[in-house]
This record gives sequence, structure tokens and C-alpha cells, in this order.
Amino acid sequence: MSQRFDALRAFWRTVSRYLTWGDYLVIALVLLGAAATIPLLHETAEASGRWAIVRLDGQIVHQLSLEQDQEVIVTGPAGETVIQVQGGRVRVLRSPGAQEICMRQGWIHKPGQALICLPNHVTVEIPGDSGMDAISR
Amino acid sequence: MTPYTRSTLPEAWLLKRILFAALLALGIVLYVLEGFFPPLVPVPGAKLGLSNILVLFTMLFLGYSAGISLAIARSILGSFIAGTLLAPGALLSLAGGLVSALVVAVSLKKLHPPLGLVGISILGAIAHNVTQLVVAYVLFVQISGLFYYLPFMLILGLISGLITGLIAVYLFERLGRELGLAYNSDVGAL
Repeated sequence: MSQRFDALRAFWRTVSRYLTWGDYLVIALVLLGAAATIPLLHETAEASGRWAIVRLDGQIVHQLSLEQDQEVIVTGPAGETVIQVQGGRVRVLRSPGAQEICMRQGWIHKPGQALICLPNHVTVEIPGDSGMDAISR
Repeated sequence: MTPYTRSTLPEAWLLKRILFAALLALGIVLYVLEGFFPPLVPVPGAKLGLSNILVLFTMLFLGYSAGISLAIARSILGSFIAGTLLAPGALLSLAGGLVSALVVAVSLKKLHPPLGLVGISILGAIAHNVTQLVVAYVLFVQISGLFYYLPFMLILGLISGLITGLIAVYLFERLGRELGLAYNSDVGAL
């Protein structure tokens, strides 16, 4: 046996002296819990970029699945904004406003993208990380 | 009013406060230093939580309430020094530290015979991580996708709790031997 393994075994002997059966139970339960929640991880990879969040004055009014084609109408201070989902993409079909900026943005589908209809206070955003939003310490 | 003399000054009282102040200073230093290091894993909020050893130590040697005060003061003063006091992260850290300290206190009191300090450390670290997730969800981002972090948070809590717990047990054993401070589950008596 090499010296390296001896050191490892000595380390484990020390460590295991510090652990009670309750500790092993906690470790096992946590590993089980993590294994049980791992399926969520798959969902997140799929779910990220699969939703569009529609806000009016910053308040969420719709969460649209990009999976199903649909149209919603949001009534803001300037009139009706029509939002269309088709083929995994979303766009603003009609919205009041002289410049029609959000309509000219066309389709969006990537996480982090957003459509903003300023006159009507409506935003459509696809949540997800296009980078880090905040660092907590 | 009688002046404090050596005979009137309750020494245990003084010793407790001096020890608390020293532990708090150490906790703040660990907290701030830890923030300097780049994260080992690319998950926001992942850190070792070395200052939680201090919380555990304080609870064992000075009592539960002292440990909880230490956790609160360490978060507030630590983020004050690190310059993140009013940033959202500081609030997360404070909530996480507080709930983690409560979990550690309760499990020290109720579960200590079957659970060792390592297991309690793991529970505390997980409580810290999960609380951060919940507070972040409630206060900042109402996106259920946040909870997809949960398995990461559990595994990271396990690892950091394991490491800090092992350090704690080793440290307390050595301290007990060198200083004659015997720690036992009979907390609150210094």
C-alpha cells in the first residue's frame, strides 16, 4: 500500500470518530432529498426560456407558455395591446403608440429578451439568465 | 453607588461579555474575508459559512441566546463593513443566518444526543440556504424557477456543513483539551 492511501485512511479514521449515527442519517437524508429534487433541475433547463411574462405597470398580468399558440389582450392606459405567441416565439401584434417600437421589435424567443410598449406601460419578457442578475453574499 | 472593585465585579459576567465580543469580532472577520474569495462553485450565494463555527461555539459555551445574537450582529456588522448593508444580498444573509442559528439552537437542545455537531452543522447550512431561497422568492423574484436551485442548495449545504462541522468538532476538542473548557450538552453554564 502506498503512503498516500495510509494518509487517506488515517484521515478517515479521524473524521469518522467525529461522526455519530445521527450525522450519517442526516447525510443520507440530505442526499436522498437532493436526489428527489433533481428532476426539478431538468424542468428548469426546459422551463427557462419557455415562458413569457407580461407586465402592466410592473405588475405581472400574464404568464404565457411559449409551448401553446395563443393571443392575449392587455388593456393599459393608452388602449389595448395584443400579444401573440406562436411556434415558441412571442411578439406584440398591436399596441397603441405613435412609434410602434414594440411591434417593430418582432418576435423574441431567448431568455433575457424583452418587448417594451412604453405608451401603454406593457412589457413582455422571457425570464432566464442571460448572465447574473445579482450576487448575494 | 459603589464603584466596581475586583470583589464586586462579577467575573463570570465580564468573562462572558469579553468572550462574546472576541467571538463576534472573529465572526465578522471570517464573514468579510469569505466575501473576498471568488465563489468556488458558480452558484450565487454559495459559500462555506466559516463564521457559523463561531455561532456554534458561542451556543455551546455561552448559551443559545448569545449564539443567536452573534448570528444577527455578525450579519449586520459584517455587511456594514463589506459595504453591502443595503444591498438585497445583505437581507438574504441576515435572514439565512438568523434561521440557521435558530435551527442549530433547536437541534442542539432537542437532537444533540443522537446528532453530532457535524449533523447539526449540516442542518444549519441547509436551513441557511433554503431560507435565502425562500426570502429571495418572497421579496425579490416571484419566479418559481428559483426553486430549481433546491438540489444545488441541498448538496452545497451538505458539503459546507460537513466541512464546518468537522472543523468545529476538531476545534472544540482541542480547545477543551488546551483550555480546560469542557463542552457538553449542558449549555448555558460557563
